[in-house]
Amino acid sequence: MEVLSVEDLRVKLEGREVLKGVNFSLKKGEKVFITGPNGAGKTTFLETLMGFVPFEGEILFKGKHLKSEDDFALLRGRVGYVFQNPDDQLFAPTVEEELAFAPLVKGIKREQVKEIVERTLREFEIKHLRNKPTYKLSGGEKRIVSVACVVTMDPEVILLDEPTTGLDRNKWEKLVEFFERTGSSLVVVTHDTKLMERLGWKRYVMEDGKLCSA
Amino acid sequence: MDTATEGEKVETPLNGEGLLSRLDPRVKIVLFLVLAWTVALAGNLLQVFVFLPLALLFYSTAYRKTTTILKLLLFADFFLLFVVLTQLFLGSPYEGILIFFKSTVIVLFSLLLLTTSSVFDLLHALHHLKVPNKLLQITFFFYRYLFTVREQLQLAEKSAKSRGFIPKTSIQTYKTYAYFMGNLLLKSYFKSENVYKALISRGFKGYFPVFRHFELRKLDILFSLFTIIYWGVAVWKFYL
Amino acid sequence: MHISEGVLPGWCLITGWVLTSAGLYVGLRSINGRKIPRTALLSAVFFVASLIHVPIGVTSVHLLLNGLAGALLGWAVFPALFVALLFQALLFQFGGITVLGVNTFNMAFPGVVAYYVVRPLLRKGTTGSLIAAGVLAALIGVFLAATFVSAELMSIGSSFTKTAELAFLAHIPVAAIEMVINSFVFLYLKKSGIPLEV
Repeated sequence: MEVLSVEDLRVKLEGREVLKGVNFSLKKGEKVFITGPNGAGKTTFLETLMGFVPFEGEILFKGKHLKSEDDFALLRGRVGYVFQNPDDQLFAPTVEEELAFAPLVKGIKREQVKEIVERTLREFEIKHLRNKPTYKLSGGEKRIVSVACVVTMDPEVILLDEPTTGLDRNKWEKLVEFFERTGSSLVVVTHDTKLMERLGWKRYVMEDGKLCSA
Repeated sequence: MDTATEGEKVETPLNGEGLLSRLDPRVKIVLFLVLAWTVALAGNLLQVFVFLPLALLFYSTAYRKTTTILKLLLFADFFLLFVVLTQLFLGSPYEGILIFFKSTVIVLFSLLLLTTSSVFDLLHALHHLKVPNKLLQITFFFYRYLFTVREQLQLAEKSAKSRGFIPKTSIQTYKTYAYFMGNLLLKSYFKSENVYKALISRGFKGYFPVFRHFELRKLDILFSLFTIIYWGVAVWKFYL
Repeated sequence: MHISEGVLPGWCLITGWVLTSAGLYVGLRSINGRKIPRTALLSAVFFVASLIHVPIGVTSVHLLLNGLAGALLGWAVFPALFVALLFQALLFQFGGITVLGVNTFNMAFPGVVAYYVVRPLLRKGTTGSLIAAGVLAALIGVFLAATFVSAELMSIGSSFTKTAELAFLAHIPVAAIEMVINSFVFLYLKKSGIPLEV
């Protein structure tokens, strides 16, 4: 079954055509890579899927057409988005609060939120960072936390924008293990050839506003 | 939240529009202060109406921006609407009408004399008009980083939204806004430290060298003469 | 809430400018070196944050945040809010130039009062004292500003009684929201390990 699909998606930003008719679909549990040169429209594509960019064409989440801000509000609780720059994404005072944000917003009870946060801290082996202010984290730690704070949302799909940039060997390995393990569908925008070879998922190439399978 | 498209600059609404934008900002600031204070001190409708033709004449130089001007005149100021309406229905209707016209004329002067120059030109002119340097430095840094700070907020909003945040009347919402602010304060605090280091490492001593200097031209002098004579006659006939 | 151009009588506008000039003088004397860009950047934060539409019931309000600004900036709140209000006047025509003195004083003076009241609580730094600081900063900042605005409106004449009353009442929801927001901001800064005296 298709969770997310896109038909003839077109986006214009400041008079420039950034996406020129993109077609794409993602099945439940499917994991894919999107690669391609800088400025080809990869980030814009993810942002459009989240409803942050005005577009023409069709975006469907589980068969439902998304048009208005309200439609996308529904999607955003269930499709997670990991920013290219974790500094832009993290805004809570500490790691723990950052992870608790999404479940609290969902209206989950405090005790349960605590459990979710505990589990995620353990899963990503970042328990020692629990009370650390997010701005004091290292670049790699920020990246892991920016993934973890989306995971606590328990999303059906996660869109990730260059998630392995700046990770050391150990953290890279941890993230790859998470990618293999998770039940969520994944769309990973990346240039990391080692990552693509290791996981061997389907690859798409975004070039000049067009998406084709490699 | 006012969501502006990315890359948009924060700038005065009529920057570069029409004949008045070509005048020396020093001249415009001084004339604005004279005119605005005069109208602000007006005690009856006649004293306000005598300046309306001048305001409309100024407006005619920027008629192409009529929509922008009308929006700023009518909808920008909730407080004015509030005062005028409460006066019309619960106080003195005359006061309401007087305030409406006073405000409209002053705002027209402000739009056409001040906001036809860019922010930088206005700050530069204030420097020549002897506004304390430290205050201008703060103003300069404020303006220099205003867009960055706003972008920072938009990113945090985007991040929260992408994790399912929908603003409503709840403690969770207010807490989220507090986190946005905390985050902005924190980032700005560090940013200001870096700005300071960058400044002193370039030998900054607390004032900005000005490369471009204003020059009074014929147009400035003619415009000043015309405005001052208009003002003089109006004050003589209607105020004294 | 900033008063528009053309509303207040001349003596009120002039008094506002005199008081604000005094505040600016004290404020600017306390700002040197690294505090110059810091004041400017924080001023930009308060400017941007006060543009957020904060939902309450079926409507939304803008926040004043003058109590918070005062608590963090001390007397530097005068130049900080002066600059922010100047830009509101230039960019959006909110408030205006002849009323800039009055509007700055209405906002910044309560900020200074909040600073002296709240400071000891911030120094103490326990969760309880930070929440108390947030609540007090909101109450002092918003209600003192509301009192000034209402008093100024009353000073125009007897026809302004209702206008002044309604202006005061409109501040109540703002104060309520700011109590919550200020407290969380103080807790945020504490958890982040940022010095609360900036």
